[in-house]
Amino acid sequence: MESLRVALIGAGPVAQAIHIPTIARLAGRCQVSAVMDPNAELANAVAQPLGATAYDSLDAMLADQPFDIAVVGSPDQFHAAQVIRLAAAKVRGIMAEKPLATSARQAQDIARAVRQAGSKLVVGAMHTFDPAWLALSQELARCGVTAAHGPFHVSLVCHIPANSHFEDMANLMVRPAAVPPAPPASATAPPASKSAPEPEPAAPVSGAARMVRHGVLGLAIHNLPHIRRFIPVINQVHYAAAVLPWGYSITASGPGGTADLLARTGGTWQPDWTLRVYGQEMVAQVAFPPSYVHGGSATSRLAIGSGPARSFGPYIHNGYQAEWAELLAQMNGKPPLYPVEELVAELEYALNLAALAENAAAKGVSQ
Amino acid sequence: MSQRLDLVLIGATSTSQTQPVYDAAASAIPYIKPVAQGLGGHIAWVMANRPDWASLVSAARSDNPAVVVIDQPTTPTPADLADLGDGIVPLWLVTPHNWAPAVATMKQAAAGLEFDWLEAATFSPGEADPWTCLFDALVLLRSAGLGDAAIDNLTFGPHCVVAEARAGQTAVHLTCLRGSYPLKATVKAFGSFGSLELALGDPRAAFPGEVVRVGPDGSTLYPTTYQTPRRMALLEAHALVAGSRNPDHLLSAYAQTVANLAAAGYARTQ
Repeated sequence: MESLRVALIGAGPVAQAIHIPTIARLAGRCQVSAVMDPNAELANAVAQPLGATAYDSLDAMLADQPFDIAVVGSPDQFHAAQVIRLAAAKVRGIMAEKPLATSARQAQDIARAVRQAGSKLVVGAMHTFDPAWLALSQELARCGVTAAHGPFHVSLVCHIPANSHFEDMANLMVRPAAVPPAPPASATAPPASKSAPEPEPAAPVSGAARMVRHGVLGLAIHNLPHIRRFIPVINQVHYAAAVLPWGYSITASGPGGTADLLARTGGTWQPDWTLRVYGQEMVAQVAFPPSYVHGGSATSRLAIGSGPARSFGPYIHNGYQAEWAELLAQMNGKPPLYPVEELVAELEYALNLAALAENAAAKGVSQ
Repeated sequence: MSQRLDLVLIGATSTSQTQPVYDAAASAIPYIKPVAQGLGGHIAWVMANRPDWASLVSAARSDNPAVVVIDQPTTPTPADLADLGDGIVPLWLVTPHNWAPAVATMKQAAAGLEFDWLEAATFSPGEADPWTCLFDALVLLRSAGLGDAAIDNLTFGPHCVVAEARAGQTAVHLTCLRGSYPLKATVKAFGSFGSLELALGDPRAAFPGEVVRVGPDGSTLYPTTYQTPRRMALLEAHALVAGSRNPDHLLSAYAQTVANLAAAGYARTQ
């Protein structure tokens, strides 16, 4: 069977430490044929050991060679335009990193574009594909855990060391040289190869509020689909604050219950990335491995009433492998585990929480 | 030779309420003898989860025991503490975790460390009052050497209370859950050194808690002993009669904790 050709858009840590190692484990079903990054030196350095061709623009890559799958691992603000561009170019499979877009309108444009093109779209939210989460989900369904077991309290804790620690365990990383401080934004023209980002909110926001927003869309977003399962609507953020060196503390609620999101990264401490769900007579828990880890799945546990807890995992396959397996299966005709409408709804959920939390942090309901 | 001490239980409203104390005293500390409810013992143990607990404590103290133990009181107010005053008979506070050996270990391990961020999660029975849950959590932090947390923000959920607080320079996040969950507690304290973490199990069981310090140079797991918090209190009561100093858990030591809770809006409605 001929390998599917994969193009990497963005050659940073996500490409190097997540997708390249995962593609390597797909037993020859895929191979990286193209690497695009505006930093041509980085693109070359990543492409060369793979026998792939390097490009410094998406247009050049699309004009030069066909490929079957594109991995969108660029900065968030470029995701939407790139996915839409790839769909228009009839790329069959698109693995887009989270967040899928930076606005709901962009996400709807993406949905329209991939539907029209027939492209298969998977968002690289690896925890939503983790076998231990999927096993727990099946068990929740089997046991009939519904909103009746609520209201829920969902606790999401993420205490992880710096990403570089795990990136270096995943691959021989190529890191670009440190970039000197950028000139003021008004003096910087956006790169020609990249689409214009969404306009930023006009109101000035504090660094802490911005950190909270980035925290939701950069870290908490891994598990917002999980939280949404129990609390489908969040309509209030009671408290939001930045946690240094990098992290956040957010307390939110909706009709389905309360959610407590805590993160602290950037130091050396006991790693812990755990989702806990407390309902009436029910506790569920998923302990996830940190990002960039290629050593198997999360573990999960469900206890209902006074019955014994059931445990799931660890499994030898992780969420990264599962998300790739999902994309390949969809390209072979399998219905999607998360249809595009669902992906749009998940993004809207994340954007809403990010906006509410940013506002709460900016209003000084914070440390 | 150990002196045999009489333990009287005061204020209990049900057998199940007294059972953990009897278990701790009778089954494992033979030189402490539980006697019927009433006055006249060396140790007066007040089951204080009732609004009139302070008057029970006053009455017990007037009988001049060696110590009055206040077991899980309905959340105290500054007025309660003022009414009780200092007195000669020591008043000890017992909450679910403050006497746990691992908490004392945490306090030793925390000495000299500077924290900037602290998270704690506690679990209480479903019928517990939210303010009591919060009080117990604040007492736990203080007992663990992490300071008195002044509350800035409170969120009351259907079966949880989430609090943002500050203990000195340390930002504190507390989550207090109530329900049919395992009765446990965790505390994670972070600083530039790394993290110091405390995990406590069901206070009715003697399985040891765990204290772990993690930093750039590795981690340390601190050993603890197999003792329930109530057994620890009873052992200390015996030691007190034998002449040792008072332990850290005098009710008056928690005056700032009580004041912080009142400042956050707690006032007993009764």
